[in-house]
This record gives sequence, structure tokens and C-alpha cells, in this order.
Amino acid sequence: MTEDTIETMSPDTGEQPGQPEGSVGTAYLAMIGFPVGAHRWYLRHATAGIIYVVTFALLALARFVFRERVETGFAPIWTVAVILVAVQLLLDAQAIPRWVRQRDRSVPLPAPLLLLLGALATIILLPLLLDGLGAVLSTLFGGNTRVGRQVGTVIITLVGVPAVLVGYIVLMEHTTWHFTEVWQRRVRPWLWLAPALLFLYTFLVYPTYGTIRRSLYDQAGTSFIGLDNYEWFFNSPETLTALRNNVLWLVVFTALTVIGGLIVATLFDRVRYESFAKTIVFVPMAISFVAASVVWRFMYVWNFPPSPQTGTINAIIVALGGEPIDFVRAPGLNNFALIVVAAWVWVGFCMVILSAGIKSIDRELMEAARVDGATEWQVFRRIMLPLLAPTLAVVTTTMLIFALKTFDIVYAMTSGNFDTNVIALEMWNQFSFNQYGRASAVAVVLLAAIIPVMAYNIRQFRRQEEIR
Amino acid sequence: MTTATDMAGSSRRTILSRWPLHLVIAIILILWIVPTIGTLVNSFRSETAIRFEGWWTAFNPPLEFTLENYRHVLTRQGMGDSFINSLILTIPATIIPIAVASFAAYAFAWMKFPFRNTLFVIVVGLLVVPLQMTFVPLQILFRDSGLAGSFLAVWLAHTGFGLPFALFLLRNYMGSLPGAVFESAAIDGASEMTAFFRLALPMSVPAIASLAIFQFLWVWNDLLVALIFLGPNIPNHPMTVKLASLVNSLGGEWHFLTAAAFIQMALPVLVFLFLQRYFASGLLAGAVKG
Amino acid sequence: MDLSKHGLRRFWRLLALISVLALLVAACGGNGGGTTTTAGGTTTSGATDTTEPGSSTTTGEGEEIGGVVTVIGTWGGAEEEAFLAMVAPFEERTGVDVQYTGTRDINTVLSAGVQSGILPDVAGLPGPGQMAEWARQGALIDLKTVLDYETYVAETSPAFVELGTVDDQLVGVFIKSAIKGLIWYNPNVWTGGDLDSWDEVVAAAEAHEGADAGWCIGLESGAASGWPGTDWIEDFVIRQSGPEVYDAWYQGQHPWTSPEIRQAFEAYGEAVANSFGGSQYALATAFGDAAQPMFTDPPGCLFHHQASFMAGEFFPNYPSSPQPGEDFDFFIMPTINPDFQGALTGAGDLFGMFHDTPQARALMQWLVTAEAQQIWVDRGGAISGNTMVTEYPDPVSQKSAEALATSEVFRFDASDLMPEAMNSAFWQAVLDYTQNPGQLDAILQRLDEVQADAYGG
Repeated sequence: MTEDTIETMSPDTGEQPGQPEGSVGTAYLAMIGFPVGAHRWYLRHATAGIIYVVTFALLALARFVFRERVETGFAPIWTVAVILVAVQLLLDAQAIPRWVRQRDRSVPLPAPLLLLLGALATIILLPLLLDGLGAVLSTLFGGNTRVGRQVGTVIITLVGVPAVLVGYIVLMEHTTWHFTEVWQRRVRPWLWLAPALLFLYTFLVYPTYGTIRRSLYDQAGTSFIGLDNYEWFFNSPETLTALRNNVLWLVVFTALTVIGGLIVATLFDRVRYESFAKTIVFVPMAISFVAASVVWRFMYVWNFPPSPQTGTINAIIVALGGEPIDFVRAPGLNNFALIVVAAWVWVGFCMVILSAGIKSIDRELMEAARVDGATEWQVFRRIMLPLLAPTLAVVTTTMLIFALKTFDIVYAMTSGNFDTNVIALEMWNQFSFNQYGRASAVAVVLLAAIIPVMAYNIRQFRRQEEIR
Repeated sequence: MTTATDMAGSSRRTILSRWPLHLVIAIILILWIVPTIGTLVNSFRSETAIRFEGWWTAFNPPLEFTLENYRHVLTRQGMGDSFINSLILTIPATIIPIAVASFAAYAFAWMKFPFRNTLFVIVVGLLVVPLQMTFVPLQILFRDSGLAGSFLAVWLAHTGFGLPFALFLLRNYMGSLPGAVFESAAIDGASEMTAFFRLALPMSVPAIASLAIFQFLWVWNDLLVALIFLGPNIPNHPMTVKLASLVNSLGGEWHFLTAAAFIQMALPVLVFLFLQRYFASGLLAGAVKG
Repeated sequence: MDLSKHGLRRFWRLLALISVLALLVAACGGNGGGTTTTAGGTTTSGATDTTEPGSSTTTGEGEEIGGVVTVIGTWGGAEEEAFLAMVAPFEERTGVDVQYTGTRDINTVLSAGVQSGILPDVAGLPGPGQMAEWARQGALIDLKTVLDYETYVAETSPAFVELGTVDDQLVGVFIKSAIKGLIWYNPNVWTGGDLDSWDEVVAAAEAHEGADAGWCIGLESGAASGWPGTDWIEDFVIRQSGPEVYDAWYQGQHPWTSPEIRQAFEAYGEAVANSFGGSQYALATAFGDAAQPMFTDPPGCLFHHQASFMAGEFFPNYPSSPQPGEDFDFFIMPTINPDFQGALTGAGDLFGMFHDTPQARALMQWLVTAEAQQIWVDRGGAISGNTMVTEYPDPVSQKSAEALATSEVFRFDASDLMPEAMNSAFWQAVLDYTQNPGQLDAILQRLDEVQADAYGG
């Protein structure tokens, strides 16, 4: 009983492309890494059955043979996955002869159940595939060394994760084929969104829910105290200073970075040494915030006047005959000094995104305008800016959010002393004081502060919708 | 008049006639690079010189440069392992969120479903969630699932944290692609899958490339997420943790951070240079018109 | 046709059955593998592959144990090297691999860890206040069951034993310590030797003969900026108003606006007014670099108030590379109120144990020994927590160790004993007061508010 026999037993029936054949199990093939377009060929009835049975048997065998080299954390996932696969194997085994005999395209389970099984299996299979194949690969590459093992895992992740996701979509598309056109359109977006929503729920929504709840409880988290933590927030001098400074950050930081990024991206777009120039402006992005604080120490540092100034800016001031300034501590000035550091870092970010936006603008449109006698300013104002509006909205929103969340530069340079405190830093402080209730309240205020920005974005999307 | 004609033909715009542009760019670049140059110079000087003299004095004779800072950082115990750990952490933590986000971004941009904009705005609103607040609940989750201390935990966490921005950027980029392309594809009988793989994805390459850079950077430079989720699994700690502990508990020995900054910066800058070509204009032209 | 169909069906059934069996076997095997590896790993929660179960384990010093112990502390740089040198003989003798990482965010790491249970085996604790909180939550292991308690008590100064004890459980031990309230001077500038009354010190500082100013003060210390000023104030409180006020104060039972605390702030304010570069210098200068003008020509200041670690970790790196005894020396900040003779403040680095593994037990047993602590002491800058360590590398360290051993009234750094919120407000208050001396009332008022709040939970 060879593969050939089975192939001849199930000749190509010439069904329409994309028709689901086989069961959930067959779609695993796509997950194991077959490139998109090729999956149809593999999804042919029994051949598929054999391939996936063998693959999983091998995988299971690998897991058994290399068990010492497999992350221990995966053990429960393995068990669940194995049971799932076993169930599907049984179902398929029962169905395969029927396909062979009748060329029956129906699947052995009702579609919703199939969907659920497929989704479950996919979620669980992701780490499992990484794990099992990682073990095999690492044996090939690094032997039993820790790094060798991990490198194997990384290689698998690089290939495996996109493959699993593509496989997931392929599987879902095949399953929904059973549905009517209308239902397909209703269900499909949610299936495409599901992996992202799952991640967002687990890593952000669920903790946020906990945070909101926690903000209504006392320090120990045992008794409900209503809005007391919020009352504290709006009455404590530290948080009010922080709030004031955040407003300053929102306005100045956002303006500096967005306008700066736009200027830089537009100017650099016109010269041949663009990539060199962009690299220079991008470099600060690559510097960690701890390092950035060291870099700017050499710019801002103040020395007691008789001794020579070691800070670049103060040295220049003194050379020009001025009085050196202690930038980080000078009241009123220090907030701007910190914002400048942050802007120095983030202009590179705005530049990269805006530049990508500029590149997507049709060159011929601008050239045509120039031929018609438009000045450079007119080209910028009338053509580039309107076409860049969606990208500008993204950049501005992101910068507003980062201004709200600003933490690391302040933390590294002043720790919020000398009236430079910001909300996110105050939250961090409360967190380290074991005041989880208050820290949570601060976090919730941060969340609430985003609402106006989001309202603006909704309008933006609506407009975009109308345009197209 | 003359300026207008000058502007008209791009071929006639020579470097000489555009000297103000070059001057402005030169000034911007100098302003931008000076802080980095200062630190770079200092990274080749002794601790005493760094602390008590300005970096520009290094060029006064006698020239006294030293590789000591770099030697100290690079020969630190476990430095090589931590570099590999950083790579192991960063590469999947860059790939996974981009892969997950591109499907969802496509759905947000080109599929119609109820509450689409509301849902999307909530997703973007999640950008503001302070990561510090998620540490304890997530750590409990990882503990219960047996993932605590593993690389996988950090990959998953970074995927979750990076998704809102990834979705935001990609959805907006995909949303701004010309609708006509997708309509004609639909008329030709292409499925959503085909439209996604053959049209949306290739056309979004510049956005994906920018996203890749930023996600790479954030994970590469991240200290806290790795520290919290890897916790006591010390052999897995990345370079950031290793470099941060160059400074002693009293805040001394920070001069080594000058060298550390450049060691840590090297790879992201290389990645940026490598991805630059995906930003080049004209890459899209064919696709958009097709 | 019929036959082959039946045969085919049978083949598929057989194949399915075999596969399912194979998978189940693999799953069980997998679980088996999982449990054996986690046997050693459960305690370290995620320290995976390298943690082989220590099957041949027997406790006791010097015996082969093998396995791994994970340690997280605050030490970085040269401190980390010193710690690794300290555990090197232990690793060699026991075969235990000590995995260490140092981070300034220790508080966050351990706080989150205590709540979730993901903790290192052994950790450097941020301070006695935080330690007590975790001990009450049951996160720390009672070291009375780990160490030879009687030997530990005999070899450790009673103050340190007491500081590490919470609810009759020994939860923290000191690896190294430092004494505070030392008045450093340059013998080539200040030739008057040791002074034994505070009035004399003030008079000498006022005159600041041969120097620009009386004091050198530097408060900058990154996130912890301000702490050198809190040391000043603590030293005044204990010498002006005695240990009882001091204890009530850090316990939150003595108001900041009281005359005792106020006069300590004012005395510190006078020192700032008579310091090199004034408040601007004090605020902008890193505490480690602050005393640098003491060694310049002409000298900038006469005295520098700072802890014993200056000798080992900061002075040697100054441009003029001062030598202990020749270029720098100290005397202990003298008595102010004669009722409180011989008072001394100090601080130390606490270690606690979160997981009771044989490796962690062995490590803790090793770390408290004089032999282990001598290793760090030899590298300079540290005073041992173990009184059996008497050999110090230079006369200045020797002198500070003796001062610790002979102190009549010893108190731990008050700000470290305060709740984190109070401590942080104290640091900030010092900075505010240094910048705006006129606002002392408002600053103390604010500290009272924080006090009312911070001790509540």
C-alpha cells in the first residue's frame, strides 16, 4: 500500500480552486511551512493524510528522543496538542476512506466545531512546533549547548511563525468556504483579527482591567475605597506638578518632533546623500535611554565657574563670554532641556515614517506640478502635505502618546527632581513605594488622557473612509 | 522668473544652484551628530579625562586615547553570551508582531465589519497602557503556564506590547493604498487572501521596514521587560542587563557606558542601513499602478 | 476493488491507531522528561536546562553539591567583580554555579517577584524596610534554619543581627557594611588632625584657612540624588537629639516639623552655606566627585562629610590619585550633645534567601563566613559585617572598621529604614532645601504630610 496506490485511487477531480478538501488536519501542512500557493497541491486527499500523519509522528518521536533538550515550560502544551492531534487523526482516519471512495468533499465535523478545533490547534501548535523542531535543529547545529539549542529555536521561529500564521489564514479561508457569501464576509474579518486580538487581550487588556480594578482598592488591595486614590491624585503637589509638566511635553515635544521630522524628511528627500543624512539623524534612536543620558551629560554638564566647563554647550557659552547654566537644574529651563534630549532621539522616528510616506507619493504628480511652474513651496503645501496627511496623523498621534508616557529620559536625567516630574514617572514611584492602588490610579488617568487624541483619530479615519 | 525655470527641470538643478539647501542640511547634521561625537571621543579616553575635561580637549596634544573602556566592556564575563541572548530575544520579538499585525491591519483597512473604527481606536488607545502595570499580572500568567524565565515569555510579551503601534502604523499605511487596486482585483475574482499576499503586503513594504526597525530597536534596547520576565533565569539575560550593571550601586563607573553605548548601537545602525533600500522611492510605483 | 477498499480501510485504521499510540507514548515521555527537568527547576522557577537535579546533594560546607544558585543584587561594576571573587572559592569547592546579575531596578524586580513567586534563590535586598515587608509576606526564608545561628550571632555585631531579624526570624544577613558620618580631610591642607568637638569643626570650617571654603558637598547620585544630604541630617539628629528621637523619627512617630529635626536641617544648611561653590555646586556635583577640590591647588575646601566607602571607590580615581593616610584621612564626626557620646551611623548590604535549595543554603553559609568576607575587604572600600575580619588593606579602612567595632551607640541609616515613599521624599526635600533654603517651613510641612501617609499601610 504505497502512496502511488492512493494517488491513483483518488484522481484529480478538477474541483474549483480553494475548495476545502480533507479536514482540519490537512491544513497543518500549510502551517508546517509550505509556501502559500503550494498548499493546494498538498491538500489532495490521502497524500495529505499520509504526510501529516508522518510529520506528526516524527515530531512526536523527536519530542521523545530529544526531551532533555526541550524547554520544560512546553510540557503541558505538548500534552494538550498531542491529544488534539490524536482526536483529529481518528476523525480523519474515519473520513479518509470515504473521500477515496466517493470523492466526498464534506468534512467529518460541522463547520463551527471545525473552526474551533482548528483555532485551538493552531494556538497550541505554534509553540509546539517551535519547540520540537528547535530540538531537532539544535541537535544538528549546536549539540547540547544552551546557545546552540536557542539558536535552533530562533531559526524555527523565523520560519515557523510566519508559516503558522499563513497556515492559520489558509485554514480559516478553507473552513469558511462552507459558509454562504454573506456569512463569509461577516466571519472573515474576525478570523483575520483573532491572533492580534488574542495577543492584545492577554498582554494589554487583561492587565488593564486589573489596573482599573486595583485603582479602586487600598494599598494592600484588600478593601474597596472608591475614588480615594483619584482624590489623592488630584490633590497631591507631586502629581499636579507632573500633570503640568506633561502638558508642556505634549505641546513642545510633539511640535518639535513632528515638525522637525517633517522638515528633515522633506529636505533629505531632495539630495543624493539622503541615506547618509538619514542615518545621522536616526542614530540617536539606536541609543538606549541610559546611554542617551550619558551623551547629554557631556552636553549639559555644569562646572563651578573657575574650573573649565566640560559640557559642550556651557563651554560654548563661556567662550562667547556668557555665564554657564546648569541646564538640568535651572528652574523653568530644565523641562525644556529634557524635552530637547527626547526630541533629539525621536525626530529620527518621525523622519523614518514620514519619509516612507513621502516615498509613496507619486513622483510624477510633483514633477507635473513643477513643470506647470509651481514653486517648491507650492509643491510642498498643495501636493505633499495633503497626501501626507494620514501619515502625519499617525506620527502626531504616536508622538502625543509618547509625550504622555514619557518616562525614561526624565528618570535617567533628573529622576523627576527640580520640578521635572511627569505622570509616568510618578506612577513608577508609587509602584516602587508599594502603593499599587495609587500607581493604578495614575495609570488610569494616563489612559483617560488619551481619549481626546483618539476622538481626533476617529474623525481622521472617517474622513479617510469618505475619500476612497 | 529665473527661480521658477530653475525649479522646473530637475536635471538643471545642480549642487551649486541649491547651496542653501545643502547648507541647511549640513547645519542640521552637525547639530545632530555633535552629542554623539562628543561621547564617541570620550569613549576613547580615560575615566579621569572624561570626568574632568571637555571632550574637545582630547584633540590638544599630547593625544592620549585609550581602548581601555572598550576592552573593559567587551571582556566582561558573559558578554558574548548576553550578545547572543539579545539576538535570540530581538529577532523573533520583531518578526512575530509584524506577522500578526499585518493580517489584522489588512482586516482593519479593507474589510467591513461592525464597530471597526471603535475597535481600532481601542487598539490604538492600548498604546498608552503603561507597561509597568502589566508586569505582575503577566508574570503570574507566565508562572502558571510554566513559561516564566523563558525566551518565549519575552517574545510573547514584546509581541503584545508592540502590537498596538504595529497595527496603527500598518493599518494607516494599508488604508492609504489606492482602493481602485483592490476593487479591480476583486472584480478579477481574487480572494481576500490573494489581495493580501499579492497586493497589500508587497505595497506595504516601506511601512513594514520602518516598523521592523523600531520594533527591533525597542526590543534590542529594552531593559525592564527582559529583566522582569527573565527574572532569575540569569543565563538568558540580554546585553542591556549586562551593560546596565557596568555602573556600580553607588552610581560610579558610568564612564564605561560611553563605550557600551557604541557597542550596543552598532547592530541597530547596521540594521537601519540594511533596511534603507526598502525606503527608496519608486519601489511602489509599479505596484500602485498595477 | 472491494478487497483493496477493505484493505485500504484497514490500513488507515491501523495507521491511525499506531500514530495515536505513538503520540500518547511521546506525550507521556514528554511529561516524564518535563517533570525530571523541573524537579530541580521548580525552585528556581524557570532556570531551565542548566539546572540538573542535584541528586547527590548533601548539605554542609566544602562538599560537592553541584547545580546552580541564582543571585540578583544591586552591585555592578567593580562591586560585581568583588562579589564574583568572593564566591569563586565557594564554586570551586562545592561545584555550585553561582549565577549573578546586578540591577539598579532591584526593587521592581523583587516586588513583582514577591507577588508572582518568580524570584531568584538569593537576593541582595534594597533595605531593611523593604526586607521587613517581604518577611511579613512570608517570602523570605528564616536563616536560623540555614546558618549556624550561634556562630553567626557570635561573629556579628548585635546591631546587624537585630537589623536582619523580623518577628523573631533572621531573614537578612550583612555581606559588607560602611560607616557614615566620617569627616574626610587632606592632611596636607588641614593640619589640625582629629577634632573631638563639633564646635571646633564648625570653627575650623568657618575659618577655612588655606582653602576656599569649609566644606565640599555633592548631592548628585542619579535616581537617588539627595541621599548624601540625608546622611548629614541623620548624623545631626543622632548627635544633637540622641538615639531615642532618631528611632522615633525613622519609625514615623516624630514629626519633621519638630525642633529636633528642624535644627538638624538648619545645621546642614549652614554647612551648605559654607561650602565650595555653594548650593549650585552641591546640587550639580556627583557625590563621588564632590571632594575633588580638596586635592587641588589651591584647595577648594577643608572637609568632606561622607561614608567610609570613599576611600576604596572614589578617592583613588581622582586626577591627583591621592593615597590613603598621606593625601586623605578622616575623623569621625564628633559628639555634639555630650549626653549622646559615641553615636555612629552606618549602612550595609543585606542578603536574603527566597528559595530553600541546598545550593542556596550552602551559599548563604559561605557568604557570612569571615573567610568569604575577607575577600571583598581585601579589594578595599568595604567593611565586613563579620567581626572576625580584622585585616584591612590600608590604615584608613582599618580605622573605620575599628570605629564600627567600638561604637557605643550604633544606628542604621535612618532613610534606609523609612518606607520607600518617605525615603524618596526625604531625598527630594534635601534637594529642595539646598536649592531654596528659605522654604524650610514648607518643605518640613510637606514631609509631615508624607509621613502621615507613608506609614499608614
